[in-house]
Amino acid sequence: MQKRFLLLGSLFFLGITFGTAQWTQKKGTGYYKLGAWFLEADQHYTDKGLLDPNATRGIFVTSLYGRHGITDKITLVGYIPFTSVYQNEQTFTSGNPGQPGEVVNSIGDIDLAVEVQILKRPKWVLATSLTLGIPSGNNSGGSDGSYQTGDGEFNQILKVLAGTSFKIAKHSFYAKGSVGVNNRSNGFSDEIRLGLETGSQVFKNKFLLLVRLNTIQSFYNGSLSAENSNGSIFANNVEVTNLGGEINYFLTKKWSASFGYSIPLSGKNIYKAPALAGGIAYKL
Amino acid sequence: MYKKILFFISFLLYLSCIGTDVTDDYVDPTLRITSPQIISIKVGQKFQFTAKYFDTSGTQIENPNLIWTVSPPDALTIDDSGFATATSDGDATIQVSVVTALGNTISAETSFTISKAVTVITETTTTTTDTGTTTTVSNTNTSTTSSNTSTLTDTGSTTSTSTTGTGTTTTDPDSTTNTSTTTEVEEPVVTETTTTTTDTETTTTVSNTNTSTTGSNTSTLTDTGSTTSTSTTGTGTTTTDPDSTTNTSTTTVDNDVVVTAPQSYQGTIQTTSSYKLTGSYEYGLNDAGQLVLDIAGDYEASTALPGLYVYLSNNPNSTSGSYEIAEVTVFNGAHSYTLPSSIDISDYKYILYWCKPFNVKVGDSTIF
Repeated sequence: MQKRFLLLGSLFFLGITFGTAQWTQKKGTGYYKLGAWFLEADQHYTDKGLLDPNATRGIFVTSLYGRHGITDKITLVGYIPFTSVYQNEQTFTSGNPGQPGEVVNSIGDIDLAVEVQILKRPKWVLATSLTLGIPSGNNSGGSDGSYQTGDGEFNQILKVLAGTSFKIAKHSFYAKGSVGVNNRSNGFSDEIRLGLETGSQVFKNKFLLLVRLNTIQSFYNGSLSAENSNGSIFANNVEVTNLGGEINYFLTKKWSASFGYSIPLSGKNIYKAPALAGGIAYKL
Repeated sequence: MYKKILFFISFLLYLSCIGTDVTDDYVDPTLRITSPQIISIKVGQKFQFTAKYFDTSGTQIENPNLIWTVSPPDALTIDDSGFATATSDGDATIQVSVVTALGNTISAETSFTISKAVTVITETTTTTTDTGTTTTVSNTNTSTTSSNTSTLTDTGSTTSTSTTGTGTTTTDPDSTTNTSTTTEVEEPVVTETTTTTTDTETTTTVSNTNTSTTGSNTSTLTDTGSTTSTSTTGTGTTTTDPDSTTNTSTTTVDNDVVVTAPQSYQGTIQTTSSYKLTGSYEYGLNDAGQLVLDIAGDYEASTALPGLYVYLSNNPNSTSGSYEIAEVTVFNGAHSYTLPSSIDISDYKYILYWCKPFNVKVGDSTIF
């Protein structure tokens, strides 16, 4: 579940702040972002999708995200997270000994991806991407192995992405959608990932407002369970549907700052908590 | 712009500070009689009562100031340590109380029956009879009177017997022959063998005295060793020949305190969360005398539960001060946990299933 902490944030805050339905970078251009996101949860969705309490855990991720066009149709993407996972100190009203707070800092799972533009038309574009989730994080951190900054397995996410732009009352909008399959190893269940996003630039194009709805659904075809892997189960059979928004403020033509907020609408085996994010981006 | 960036990052860092979760672990203080539960005890017997006091967090308080009382007061005597002696028969109640840190008095009690003591006596009496003989005494009367007296002194028996015979004087004045015959019936000589049984408190002596020469005798038991006198009578038969008597009397006594230490408890584990966790169990001593938690075949737990552990605790809301039995590795079907000998069956009141990473209770059961 700890790894799935990461999903709650990364689902939303890795997005690039394009104002149009352009999926790949042009050759020699790029987008680079120093970001951070945070959430703290004292409840979680159970395997039945119900809510149960838990000791308060938080995660703070500082990340470097970059995408660079090596051709007009091929973009390389990289994401390097630096993750801090913590749990609150546990105390009792009686004064009896509790459990001290704990924190684990580690690099997380690095994502490397290549995006390929398949079709491009004036009003829409079609692309595909392959993301490799490198198990560079710690999947057994902390005193009990549950302070995970990675799931310890090799993710391979194949996505198809489509986008379009349109106008409503002479105001320009864009919309994007994606369908992806995450082929997971080491006994983890495979996943399907769906995403929708729409946004528009406002206030003389100084701000970009966008809304995202993402979901992850499990195929439940993995073999991991509490019976055979008490630690890794945190990251298996996870489902979540998340709704969030983001405000991007263009400081200059190249620099922008963002602030995002998202909440899980439903889920299984995942913490329930809103996520906050911010970042500074540079557009080359 | 850089100040804005710095402010923004500082704000996010502030959000990630480790805080404190506070769990309310209050439970009502409890006082528990932990000595085996008595069904019955006999007058004169002694028993050590014990009790444990747990405070508002379920933590056992060492050496509490326990106050022991008896109802009715003359049923037993009991000292400050809970050591009791039964003094009279009837129903009785032992109550123990303690004053909590908040000044309240809490108590616990146990009731049982006190019965009269009975002693087992196996008595064997052997009577040996001196063979009865007929002694003929002849003497010669040397006097000229018409009568004479003969005296028989039988030194061969344990009892002297004398008899007087009379004779007839013949016409010959110079010679009188007087013959008297005496038949002596000798009293039986009784040799008794007495078996004495000693009860747990004092020695009870049985004395058996044969007081008659008739064919039966009576033995009387007087038990002066217990607080209640018990007597019994046995009868024997003397045969006419070969002059022996065997007398046996038997009385039954039970020297044990009848107790019923709870040997096992049965219950059901129930989920306290949204995770599936259910199953029945038996908690008690096995044939080898080991304390065992036997989970039955109807047990089932969600395999989505990470870091699940099972505990014994005196606080249903906390694992602080509890005993961690084991990490749960069986999620379906029967299995068991053998507990160390240092744990008594009455030491813990609750079984807890606890998710360690979430630090939250998933299920529980109240043992007693």
